[in-house]
Amino acid sequence: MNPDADQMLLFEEAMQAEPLPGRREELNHLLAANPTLQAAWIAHRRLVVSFSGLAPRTDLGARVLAVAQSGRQSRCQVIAAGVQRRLEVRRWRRIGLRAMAAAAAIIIVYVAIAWPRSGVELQRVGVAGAQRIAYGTSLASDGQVVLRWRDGSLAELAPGTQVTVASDGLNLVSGVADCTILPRSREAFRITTAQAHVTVLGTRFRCTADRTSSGVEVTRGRVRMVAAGTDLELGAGDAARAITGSPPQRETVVWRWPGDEAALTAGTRQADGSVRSGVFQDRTGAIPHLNFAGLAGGRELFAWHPGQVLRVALRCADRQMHLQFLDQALGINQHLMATVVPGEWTVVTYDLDALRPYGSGPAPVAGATFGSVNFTPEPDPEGHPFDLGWIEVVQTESR
Amino acid sequence: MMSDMPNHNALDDLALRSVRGDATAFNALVEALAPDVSRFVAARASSAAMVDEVVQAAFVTAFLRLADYEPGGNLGGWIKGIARNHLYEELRRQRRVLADDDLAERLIADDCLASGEEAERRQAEAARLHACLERLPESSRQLLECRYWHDEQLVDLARRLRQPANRLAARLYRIRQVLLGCLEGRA
Repeated sequence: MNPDADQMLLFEEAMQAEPLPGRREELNHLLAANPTLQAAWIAHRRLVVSFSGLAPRTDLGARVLAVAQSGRQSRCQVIAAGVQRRLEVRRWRRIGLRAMAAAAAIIIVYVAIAWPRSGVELQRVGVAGAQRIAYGTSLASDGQVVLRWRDGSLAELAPGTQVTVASDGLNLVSGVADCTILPRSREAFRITTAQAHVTVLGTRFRCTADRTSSGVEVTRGRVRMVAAGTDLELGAGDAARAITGSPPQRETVVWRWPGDEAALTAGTRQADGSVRSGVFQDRTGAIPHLNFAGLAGGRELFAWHPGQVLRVALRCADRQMHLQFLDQALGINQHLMATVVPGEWTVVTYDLDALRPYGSGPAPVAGATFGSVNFTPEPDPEGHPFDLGWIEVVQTESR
Repeated sequence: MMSDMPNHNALDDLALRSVRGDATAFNALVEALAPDVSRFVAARASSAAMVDEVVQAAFVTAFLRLADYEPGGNLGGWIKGIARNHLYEELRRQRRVLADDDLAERLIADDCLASGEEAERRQAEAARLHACLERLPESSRQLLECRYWHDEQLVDLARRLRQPANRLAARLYRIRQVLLGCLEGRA
């Protein structure tokens, strides 16, 4: 069955990178009601993408060199070689002036409709629709949230992340922000935390912050982190953290969840992406717990080495949580105390150099692998379930 | 639209000169390999924007790591491996931030992520696509290029061609149908 003329028009408009407001919703309704059209939509859209792969890319080499070399330059207060280029900008270069002028007119109209006033667009992942929030707004994400600036730059906030939004970036109070920043010609994108600031012209990176430290992890491009008067330049794959009052130190993530779904073997995934503790019964009653077991492919969770730090984002109705961090095979039984604001996300950090064996068992040796980790509140018959937003173990170079 | 790719020795020579800072050699290397890498990415990506971004990212990464490449290997395959990593990272990120009710984009993203085994077939299709395009009337080919290569907006294209937008959309749909039929061997 072929679509009718109106449906063909809807298909065609949705092929554009940014369909006019409302049209995408119309297409979604149409597709939801008609599986045949779903198949046609997939076939036609993928054909268009395949066709785009045949387009000549005459200036690609020059653009690649410009991006790569800008990333190698060392500039005061930072940063950045953006790999990404805004689609519109990139493509305007390929088209003629006449088409450029016409396209510009459309874009301006679109911007006027979609961006009626200053601020950023906020979208909750898994929730229909978006809302606009003004610059200067402080918010704590109650689930996974995506902020979008008018130039297309994105910050994905993990559950429980607290930020204040600015026209040129974020003040990250606590939590995790995964940022995809498009190159900006006028003002740089900035993230400030209590311990550091990061200035970005175009790259992708993750920024984390809690009461005592701030971290940056670069996926793409280059970033310079400045803290305590010291700056550290980071490239793709690098990560660093600054403790209050101290210069930034390089670190490496050795295990992270979410990131490998096979690791989690207990607990219930929630709509916001976090996980609620599961429950097991023992002599004392129902005990909330979370378990992470070996990863897919038979790999262990991570190998322990001196200098590692564990960070978790927790939420619980209790004010204090006494967690056991244990691996029975290794004989590790580490008690972790977290003071949290009841009902709110809190990031807590633990130094894994203090790993403690069961009873008089041998202390762990460098390279010992964790195959399974349990998080269980101290035995408490009335223990409330708790939520885990994310967890990571990082290797620092500070020790 | 298809380019003659230099042999492995010539590519290795360009790579070596690029590592030494010869921008002209790097440009030549990109020019030689970009069409193949672009088709490779386009057979697996969910949007034309993603193709552009991933291809560029792959060559940036390749440039920064070119010193790691061992001459005598398959430089094109090495860069496609880099592109594949960028692509699946981008597909997974895109899928993560898509709203559940954005069915149109979700269908495409899921199809791209699920059809890894079909990627080779799609890539072979991309090679046939060139032949299918050659069989189209010149005016149809030009229309596709204006619309999907140069991103000319539908309303602008319709105004320029003095056609109602819905009629132009139907024409584009029919051209795509012809191409899909050609790829499936129906025409």
